[in-house]
Amino acid sequence: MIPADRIQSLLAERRDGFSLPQAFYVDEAFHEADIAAVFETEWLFACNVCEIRKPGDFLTLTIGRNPVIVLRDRDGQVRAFHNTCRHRGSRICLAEKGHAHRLTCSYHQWVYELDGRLLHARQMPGDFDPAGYGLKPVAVEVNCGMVYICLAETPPDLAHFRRTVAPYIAPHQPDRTKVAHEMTLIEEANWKLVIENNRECYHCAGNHPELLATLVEFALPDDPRGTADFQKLMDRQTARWESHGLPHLPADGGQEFRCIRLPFHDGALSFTMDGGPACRKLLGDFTDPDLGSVRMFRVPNNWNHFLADHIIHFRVLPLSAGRTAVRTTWLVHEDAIEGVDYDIERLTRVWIATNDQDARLAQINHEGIASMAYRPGPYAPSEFMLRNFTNWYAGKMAAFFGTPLAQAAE
Amino acid sequence: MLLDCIAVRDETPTVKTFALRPRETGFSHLPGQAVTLALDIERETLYRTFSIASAPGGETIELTIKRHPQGRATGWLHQVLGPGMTVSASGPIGRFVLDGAGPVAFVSAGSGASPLMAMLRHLAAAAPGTDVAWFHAARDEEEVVFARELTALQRQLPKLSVSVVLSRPGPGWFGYRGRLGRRLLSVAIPDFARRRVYCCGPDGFMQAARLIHAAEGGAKDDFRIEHFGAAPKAPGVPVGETDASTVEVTLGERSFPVAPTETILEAATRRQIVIPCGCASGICGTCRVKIVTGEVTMRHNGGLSPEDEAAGYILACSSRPRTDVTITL
Ligand SMILES: Cc1cc2nc3c(=O)[nH]c(=O)nc-3n(C[C@H](O)[C@H](O)[C@H](O)COP(=O)(O)OP(=O)(O)OC[C@H]3O[C@@H](n4cnc5c(N)ncnc54)[C@H](O)[C@@H]3O)c2cc1C
Ligand code: FES
Ligand code: FES
Ligand SMILES: [Fe+2]
Repeated sequence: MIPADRIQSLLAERRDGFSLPQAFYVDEAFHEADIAAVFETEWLFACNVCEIRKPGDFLTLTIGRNPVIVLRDRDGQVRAFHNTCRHRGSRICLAEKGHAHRLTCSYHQWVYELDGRLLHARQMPGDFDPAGYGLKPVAVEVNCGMVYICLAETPPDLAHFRRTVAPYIAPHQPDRTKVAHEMTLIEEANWKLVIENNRECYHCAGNHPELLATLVEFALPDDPRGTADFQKLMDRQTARWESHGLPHLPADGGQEFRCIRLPFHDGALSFTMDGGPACRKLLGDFTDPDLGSVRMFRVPNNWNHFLADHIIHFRVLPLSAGRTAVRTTWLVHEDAIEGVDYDIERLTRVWIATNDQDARLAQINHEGIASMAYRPGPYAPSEFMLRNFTNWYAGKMAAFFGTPLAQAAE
Repeated sequence: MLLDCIAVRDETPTVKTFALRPRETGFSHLPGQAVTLALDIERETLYRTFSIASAPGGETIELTIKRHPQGRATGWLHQVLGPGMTVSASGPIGRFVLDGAGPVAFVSAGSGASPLMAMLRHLAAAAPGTDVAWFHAARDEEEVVFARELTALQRQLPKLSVSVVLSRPGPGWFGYRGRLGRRLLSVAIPDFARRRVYCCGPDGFMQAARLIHAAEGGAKDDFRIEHFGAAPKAPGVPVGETDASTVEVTLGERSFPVAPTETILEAATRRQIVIPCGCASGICGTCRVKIVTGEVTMRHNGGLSPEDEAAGYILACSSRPRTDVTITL
């Protein structure tokens, strides 16, 4: 049972600019609440369209207790369905990824068309009408090749996000890529700690030597901690990007999303140990390898880097209060050839190391929060995105469970 | 060396080909090389360089020359030079020559086709099985050089493909239109990055082609160009930034100089050599590294235990090297 009243009172007690009260991170009942209030209502990043290139290609994921299938139908359209049979509810597609001519349930072999219609239900009486037993659809939006799904009956409006981030990411042509490598890491931490960890680089200097070989720690073009050298680099690079017509200023995403193009260290082009290119064939129609990276984040489960030579998508899905699945996909130009244009170990080394370090940090964060001595702690100025995130989250929970004030007014 | 003009023919309204025969025997060139003409025009000697467009081994050499609107030498050549006249020349010169086997791409604009034509004519005779993809840019139909000869050469070179892009095509043009770009070139020559490229045209055009070849994944060494204009200036040499009092710190495979005013951490960070760190003031202990050789002066704020200090550890943020130093993480 979800303890709505405890959620309400803890929300009321919560301090802006502080980490959340303990129960939000460690309590299994609160995990159920997160699934209901966040993951069953919000747009979630699922995959890149290149992962389901041909009609019949599918990919499965589970949101809370909801198995979902994302596929490309016979007309080339991306669709998503609840992966549960309309006969007696069995899970239909079992593989994580695959190709299906039709979707056949393995229990009693009900057969569904790729558009969700029930085509065949053997042994059912003559008056059985298959029209009433199609797969339950899940809302899908494709933005520049990135597939977002939403379990809500009436999904929130995604138009502002689409419109705002498209100019940043479209030039990288995410839809003309292929997956060079994918990895799913099970982190022993609450999903919100995984997101919080990702939203600040306060921890980078002490923990991410591989990443900091190329990444600038600053999150804003005019970061007050930035040196004069950083300002010079920023001016030079923004002039360069403007000459290509590439946007770079922080987009206005409020608490919902963030999108910005930032440079690498002087001379570095990509996320590699030496800063050299990770893939010789550049994305899209680029001819300039020095484009920094577009960092794009969207609540609740997705952040990305778009470089001149590759793209990295990160997808976060909570498994329980203390476990989270983080899936990372590295994408390169669809015609790039492994061993000729890129080497997987070179392409993935920095972020595999960084992911491991972050998984450890999230885990020890979670372990410490479980302590009876834990009290919410203050965010540093450089942790402003955590403040955005927890405020967004608190708003989401309040909207779903009601606030104590709203209760009193009833 | 004296060259007798044997014949002149029109290629396009602004381009003519001059067939010249060296007086002395024994002249030979490599496909792609050029000669320098010494032209006496209005009591002045003008030295002008032109690629040889003909294949090596013939009795004559051919120069295919575009007339420039204000060009003194090219104007004179177009208007005056004809059969029966003689010019003096030196050469051959140039290192833009065909070398190695394997598939090639020719990328040219305007009269930049001349040296590539020498290469193609040579291949037709010497290695007709060669896989050649030629991408040529011109203004309009009339200005496409060598169009008829390329048709004939396709019969001799079964693997020769030619694509032409025009910036101002007239009606009836069925080829590409527009300008050189990555998308166009990768459609015209899908395996562009896997070919050795010979490129000749205006500097901006060659620069664009070079970026496209690199962006498609081509190796730097496989991209060769010929400059018709002035060569670009050599980039400035960076001023050395070490002085006598700096010492070297070595971390793994990398070494970096440390000035007397700097900590090891500051110097490393300046070079984007990452030493994990936190407070940068000797408190947190994150930047702990071990000294393998050398000596430092360290003043920290309790970030290092006496045991660690005795065991040879230092804090990079709080240490200035006194000698060359080798450290490990
Ligand atoms: C190695 C090499 C090989 C060459 N091969 C050929 C060849 O095969 N065929 C050929 O036609 N040319 C070739 N050129 C270019 C040729 O040398 C020049 O076009 C020529 O020197 C122009 O001389 P000019 O006296 O007519 O012009 P100038 O009187 O020296 O110049 C007058 C004006 O003409 C314009 N102009 C001159 N040359 C060029 C140019 N190359 N590009 C753009 N604008 C120009 C400029 O505006 C210049 O100010 C080659 C050049 C080099 C260095
Ligand atoms: S549960 Fe699917 S066919 Fe019976
Ligand atoms: S960085 Fe904290 S002690 Fe050196
Ligand atoms: Fe991190």
